Amino acid sequence: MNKPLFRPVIFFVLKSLKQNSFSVCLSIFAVAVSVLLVLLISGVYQSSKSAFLLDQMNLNAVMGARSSPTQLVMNTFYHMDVSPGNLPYRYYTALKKDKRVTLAIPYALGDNYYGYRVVGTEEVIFDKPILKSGLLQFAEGSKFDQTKTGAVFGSQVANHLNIKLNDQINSFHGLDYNEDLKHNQIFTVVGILKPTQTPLDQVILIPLEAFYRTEGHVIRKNNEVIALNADEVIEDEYKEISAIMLQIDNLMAVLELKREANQFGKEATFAFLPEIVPEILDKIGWGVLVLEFVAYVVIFLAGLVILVGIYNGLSQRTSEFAILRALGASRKFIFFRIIGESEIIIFCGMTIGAILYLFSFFLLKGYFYQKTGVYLSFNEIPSMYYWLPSFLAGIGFVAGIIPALKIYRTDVSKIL
Amino acid sequence: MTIFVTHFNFWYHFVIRWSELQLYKYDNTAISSSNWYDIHFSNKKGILSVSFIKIDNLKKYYLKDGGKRLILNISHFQLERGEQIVLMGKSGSGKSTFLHVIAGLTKASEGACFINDVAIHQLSESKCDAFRGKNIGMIFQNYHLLPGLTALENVQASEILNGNTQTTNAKEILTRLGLADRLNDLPETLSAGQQQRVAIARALCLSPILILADEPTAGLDQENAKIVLNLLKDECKRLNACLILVTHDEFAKNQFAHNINLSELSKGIHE
Repeated sequence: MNKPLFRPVIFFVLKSLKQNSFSVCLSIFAVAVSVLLVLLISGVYQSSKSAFLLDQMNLNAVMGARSSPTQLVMNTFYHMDVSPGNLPYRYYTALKKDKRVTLAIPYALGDNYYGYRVVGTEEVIFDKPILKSGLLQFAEGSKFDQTKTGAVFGSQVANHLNIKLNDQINSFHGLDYNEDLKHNQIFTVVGILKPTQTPLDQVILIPLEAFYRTEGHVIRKNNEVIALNADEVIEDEYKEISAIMLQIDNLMAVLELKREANQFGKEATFAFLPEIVPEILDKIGWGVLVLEFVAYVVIFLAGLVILVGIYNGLSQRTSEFAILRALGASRKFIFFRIIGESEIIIFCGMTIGAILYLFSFFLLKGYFYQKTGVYLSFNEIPSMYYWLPSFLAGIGFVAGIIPALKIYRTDVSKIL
Repeated sequence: MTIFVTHFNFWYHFVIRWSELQLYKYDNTAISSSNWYDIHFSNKKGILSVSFIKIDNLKKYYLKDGGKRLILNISHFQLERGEQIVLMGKSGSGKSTFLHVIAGLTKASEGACFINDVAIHQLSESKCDAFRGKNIGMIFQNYHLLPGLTALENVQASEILNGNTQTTNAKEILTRLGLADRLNDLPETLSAGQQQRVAIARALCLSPILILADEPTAGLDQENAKIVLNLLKDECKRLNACLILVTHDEFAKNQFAHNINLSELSKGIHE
């Protein structure tokens, strides 16, 4: 006496969905949008958590002028904030020799090339493994000569500005592009880096010496600006840099340097990336929580749209269900048919939402990379990805159960 | 993919178990499998008669204004296999209720109803649904075709609902009823007569042993009414199925040799 359930349910559910295609499409759209929102918010947040730690780089700390550690990190690692000021070059020479420091790279900021930051640095950036994968690799050309005016372009800048080897460029003063602030100093492109999937892809590296000698940049001696002759050697004691990028492998050394610079020193600030990034993300964490909450509200609304859609149609469909009962359909069949409708809507919405998410993530990844050089990846999967399908199935079940129970309890003999 | 399969399995089993529980709670007339055996084969113990349809002391009340209103009161009724009768009666006399009780769509308040030795009044609702789907074809006054489904799909629906994997019978029966060229048309594009023929095809496609027709000629002109009635008579004869046709249309009544007035039936008279 047991009748098959699955095939008839699927047959009638598909027919019903086809018949009510407009409202079904609206419901699917609502679910898809809510799924997209939830996945995008949690996915991008989770992915940026690891992306902002710059795991691909062998640099995990920075020392710069007295400022907030967050500003220092944002300015030096992500090129997003203004430079907090300068630090005497002797800090670099001291840190270079410091046994607690694995790697130290000088960083002088203040110029741009069509909005991309120009970084004055030394050859050490090419000679030491600043990436986890090793040395910076060149797609074309080679590193600059410290004594000359060569420029090495990050892959993304070169690609975006269509830079070729031996191109001549003039940098612009300031961190934001302004045509009127063009420097006269000409740099020759001597190398283009391979993509590193770090913010280095978005900078132009030039020799520190050439950076100092670019007009508009000054050297101070006893707080007085001094004029530089072309062949005059700049003594280290008069040099200034924006920051020193550091790799420190020992956590005790991190604490010591932090104490020395931030607590006892007056000129410098020390920032440790794994400490600052969570702080920054925590600051936007509330915003993410609010967005996630909104996304869940949207999911509930989508569930409500399905519920209302099915429920409103019930009065018109009561006779249809009564006919089915007369044809031998059980209450169980009617029940599953309604639940099936809402579950299929949820499933379609979820699938479309997931596809839209993948598409949006790739778009956003490109945008993010272009703006910050931070490379979002799918490696970090938020835990919600595992339970979201069940949560949605539950929403579908709840959306279907109310109309299903209403029909379930209907006395068909009164309708026929 | 693994995540999806895990989630699907979980929800599939959850929903199945939950609904079974709900059905068990709801279906307060559920009977055990041993009872089912007794009912099915009780005639072998000499309890029941050999009549194809047998009704004894059947009463049906409806609750109204806090009291019970007696709709149906049939002391005795029986039909042999292949018999065709017309059931007459005034509006509100309980003709449709009588059909619904026989079909198991509603339970009798008192009394017994047997079809082919199966005690309909004792069957659990789910078993009754299954019995109805396999053995009883129903035809309604307003055709009651399923909207959004073509003529062919309407007939196939009945087959699919009742677990038939072969749906070729639907096409064959529609062709026999003269609708070969309207198979893929939606009900609203068919004439009243054609819609009723689709409804008849739907009722006949599973070769039922009993056809219950509730005002099948209502709304049809005499020509179409005659076509529909002849079709019903012929198909029931072909299938050796019983036909109980409810009508208050004199024309329809005159097409059949046997007719019963429900008010007389309530006194236990079977003409």
